[in-house]
Amino acid sequence: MNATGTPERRYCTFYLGDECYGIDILTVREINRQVQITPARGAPAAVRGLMNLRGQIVTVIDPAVRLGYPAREQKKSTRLVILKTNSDLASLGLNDLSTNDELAGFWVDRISDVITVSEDQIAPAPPDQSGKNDHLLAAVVQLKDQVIRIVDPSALLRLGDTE
Amino acid sequence: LVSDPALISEFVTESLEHLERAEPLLLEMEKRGTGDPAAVNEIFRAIHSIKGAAGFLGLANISALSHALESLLMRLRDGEFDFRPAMADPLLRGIDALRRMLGSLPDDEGEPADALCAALTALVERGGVMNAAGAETPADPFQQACAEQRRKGKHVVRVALPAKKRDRERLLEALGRYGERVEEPGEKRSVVYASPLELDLLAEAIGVPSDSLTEVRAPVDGAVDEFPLPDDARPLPLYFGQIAVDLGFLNDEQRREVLRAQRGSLLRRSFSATAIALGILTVEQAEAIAAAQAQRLADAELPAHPFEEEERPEAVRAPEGSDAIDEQMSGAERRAETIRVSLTLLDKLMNLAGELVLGRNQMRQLLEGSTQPGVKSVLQNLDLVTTEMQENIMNTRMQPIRVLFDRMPRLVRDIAHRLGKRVELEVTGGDVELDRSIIEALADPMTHMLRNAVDHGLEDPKGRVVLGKSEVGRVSVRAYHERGRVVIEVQDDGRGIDPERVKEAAVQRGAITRDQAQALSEKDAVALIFQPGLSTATEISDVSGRGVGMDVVRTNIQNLGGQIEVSSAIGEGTRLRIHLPLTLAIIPSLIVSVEGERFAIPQLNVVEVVRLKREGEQVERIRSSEVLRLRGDLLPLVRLAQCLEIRRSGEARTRANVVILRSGAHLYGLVVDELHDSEEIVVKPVSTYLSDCGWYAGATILGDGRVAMILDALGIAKRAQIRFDEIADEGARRGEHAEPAAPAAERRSLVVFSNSADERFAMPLRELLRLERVEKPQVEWVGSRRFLKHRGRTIPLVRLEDVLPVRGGGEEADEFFVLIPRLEGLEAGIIATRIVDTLESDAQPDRSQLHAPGLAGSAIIEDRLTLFLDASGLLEAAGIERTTAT
Repeated sequence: MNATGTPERRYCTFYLGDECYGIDILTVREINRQVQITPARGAPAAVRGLMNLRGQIVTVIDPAVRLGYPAREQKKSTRLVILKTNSDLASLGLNDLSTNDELAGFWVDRISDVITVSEDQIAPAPPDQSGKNDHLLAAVVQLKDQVIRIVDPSALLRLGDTE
Repeated sequence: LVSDPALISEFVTESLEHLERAEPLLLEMEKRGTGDPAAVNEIFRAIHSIKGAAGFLGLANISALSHALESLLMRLRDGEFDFRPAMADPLLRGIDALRRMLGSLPDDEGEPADALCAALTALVERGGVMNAAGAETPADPFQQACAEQRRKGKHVVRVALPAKKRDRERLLEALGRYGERVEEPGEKRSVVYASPLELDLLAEAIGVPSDSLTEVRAPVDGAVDEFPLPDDARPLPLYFGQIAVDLGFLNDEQRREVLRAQRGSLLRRSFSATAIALGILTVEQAEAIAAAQAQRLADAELPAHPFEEEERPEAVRAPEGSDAIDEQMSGAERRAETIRVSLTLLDKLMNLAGELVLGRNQMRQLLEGSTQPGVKSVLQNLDLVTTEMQENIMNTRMQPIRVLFDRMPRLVRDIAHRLGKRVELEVTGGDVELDRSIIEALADPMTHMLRNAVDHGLEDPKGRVVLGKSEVGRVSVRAYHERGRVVIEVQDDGRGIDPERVKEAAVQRGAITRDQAQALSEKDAVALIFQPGLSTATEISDVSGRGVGMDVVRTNIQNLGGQIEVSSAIGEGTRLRIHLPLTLAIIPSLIVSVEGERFAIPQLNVVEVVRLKREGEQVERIRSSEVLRLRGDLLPLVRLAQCLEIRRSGEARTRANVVILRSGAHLYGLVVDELHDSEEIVVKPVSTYLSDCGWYAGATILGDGRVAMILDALGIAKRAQIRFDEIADEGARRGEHAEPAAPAAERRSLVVFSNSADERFAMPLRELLRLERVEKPQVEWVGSRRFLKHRGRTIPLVRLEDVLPVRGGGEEADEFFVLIPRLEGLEAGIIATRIVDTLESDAQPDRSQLHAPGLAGSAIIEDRLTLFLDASGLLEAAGIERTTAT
């Protein structure tokens, strides 16, 4: 709650190419700069590979591929946004959020700020031109100088429905 | 209602454990036929705890059922009722129903078990007396007595009593001569007799109209005949007259005549004496019948049929029986010294231990060159502690296989009941420990194997007696350690598996060709039961045998990194042996790489590793596929880079390594760039994003912390679309196309062929005129000789086994080969079932070992003993002469 009593939400923002996206920070487990990824041959295109997170294997998904951008090379700024699993969320009582049953992470080109916005700044996502990726976005946040698209992590992680 | 999910889940776990403890005790009491106060108390306490917790949690259905069970158990515990084996059934059903209800928690409790509760309550109200009307409860003493008489082959008949006392007495006196009275408390107007005579015969014998007698039948839905004997298992008649008819000495009319005479006679003569007096039987015949009768009576002394409940004498309560129960009790107490830890926590600990090992390795590398005093000993200590910790954490996942074996007695009991078989199950080795996940994954295959053993393996009781076996079939389940692995055996003493029938079934299903079937050894033929869709069960029962099964069992076992093998002897039984790794989590693997990407291949799948110096030398092409010629076999080749679409950098390589992999029954070669070490890897389940691929068996973290995929040999073969059949065919055909190579000084080209799996023959290629592939219709018989119709000519054929002391092959196959030797003025063919290879060899036949007309000698070729044929000697020995060419 802020001073005016409007509920607030916090988003972690990141870049895919030149576009800024956000993800509910409550779904993020950690952000990792270690990007030693083993490619998984024959997997769907959005699966960049697997990585070792302190003994656990994380499947790395490229949200950009899901959103229709061309594949990008790994850069110095590339980060992995490791997500909480559904059971992590449930044990924290965050039952209205959902991600995935197994450990997964998003491959992003650059991490930006964590923003705090009030509910009234959040609007439903406008329909995409192609209409294909509508369900991947949960909302848009209108800031003074830019629009941030908020992704729905569980939809991004559900590969079966578009591929 | 308390709806705390944690409380509910704890309740479910605990209750299931209570039930798990109660069930074997109940089964044990049912088997012994007597109650055991300690066991009853234990069962009571288990149900009582469930009831209490269920009431607290507001679980009405579970509470009601456990209450009903508890009421019965309480009376048993207090000695108010005596335990009877038939009581086990409703109690077991109650346990099943509780399990079902617990299983549907936390969502809801599932359907209430009202009928069962009512039956249990009724049972308690009747004072624990089983009653035929209650679906749950077996017969009252009268019905039991009737059932007993029917089991002996007698007719149980109700006779109306006449009103007059004198008539009544005369009737009873007459009845006493033909049967035995079955006491029926409270009945005054009729009496029930068990007699060897059918109803009309009895009426005739006692001189009353047959409509005054009625047969007393078993209650239709009562428990008495709940498990009717299969027709062929009905006991043989035990009475003299009936045996005489059975043996064909009398017909039915003669038997009636004797009975009539017996009735008319004032002297109480026996049936045999009357028949002899009438001249219907000779003394010898009577003696034969008496002998048969004695035998049958002796047979009838066999222990009571398990489905008929009956009180056992006290003496049966053997002391070791109560020991067994005591032991289980103390086992229950031992368990109390443990605490429950969630599996996720253990998995986490295991991951962390893995990380610790990794950290240690990195530290060791960093400090290797250190000159700081003391570093070395600190490192060593760290080393030791880390390793030990990892081992101990692994051990926490181990469970005694008892948790699985304990379910087996119930399973076998239920199957045996349904099939009308008697089975004694012997379980040993419950203490052997295995990784928990392996034990869980074993449940289905074990269930399947036990079903098979009881259903298909064991004969029905009568069949067993005929074969001179005990009526009670034996099934044993054993677990033990062997060379670092765990072996589990399921063995029965039933009919065994007939290799010929399995072969026939496999050929009919098209799983193998008739040629292949003929070449199979008995052991290999029996192993065909692991092929999909094969079942030799003549009929499908509802217990097992729909032709899906053993292949699934094998797949399950293989998925666990295990192997399964079968051995069987007709008439003696079947044994299935499973070899399992101690733990699923760690498997030895070969690490390979392509373009720097590393992959792990489980050692279990690796047959051998071949280094190719020059690819052109050993790699050939069959149509579009590459094959590797390895010791005379053509193996399909898969290039891992190509298969997984890994982009090649730089020019093609000249050197390569081939890992020969086993995929089901086939071998193939996987071409990789580099071979690395063999590593013990910790297998992590494959991500759901990758499980659709099918060519990964999982993933693992290698020593340097990088993730590597584990390749699945079967999946890779599928992805590469290897056509094993085509290559095998082509391999055989190559013999035909092989060009006669210019004979080197020593080396010559040989055609190697075989007719059976274990005998090989060779002929120098240059001694051959032609090699023909022949179809069965091309062969004609003249007398005992075979002739090949070929290009308008008729060529006599020779089977090797007709001339040489060798095993038969199969020109019965639809297609085979004929070798036509290059001989002056003589055209004849030698039959070969399979061309193994054509190869260059400097092997010279040695005449000293094997010596026979038609044989040039023997030599070792490709590690196999191979017989060289002497064509002209062979044809001569076969009686084909040079001038007979037609």
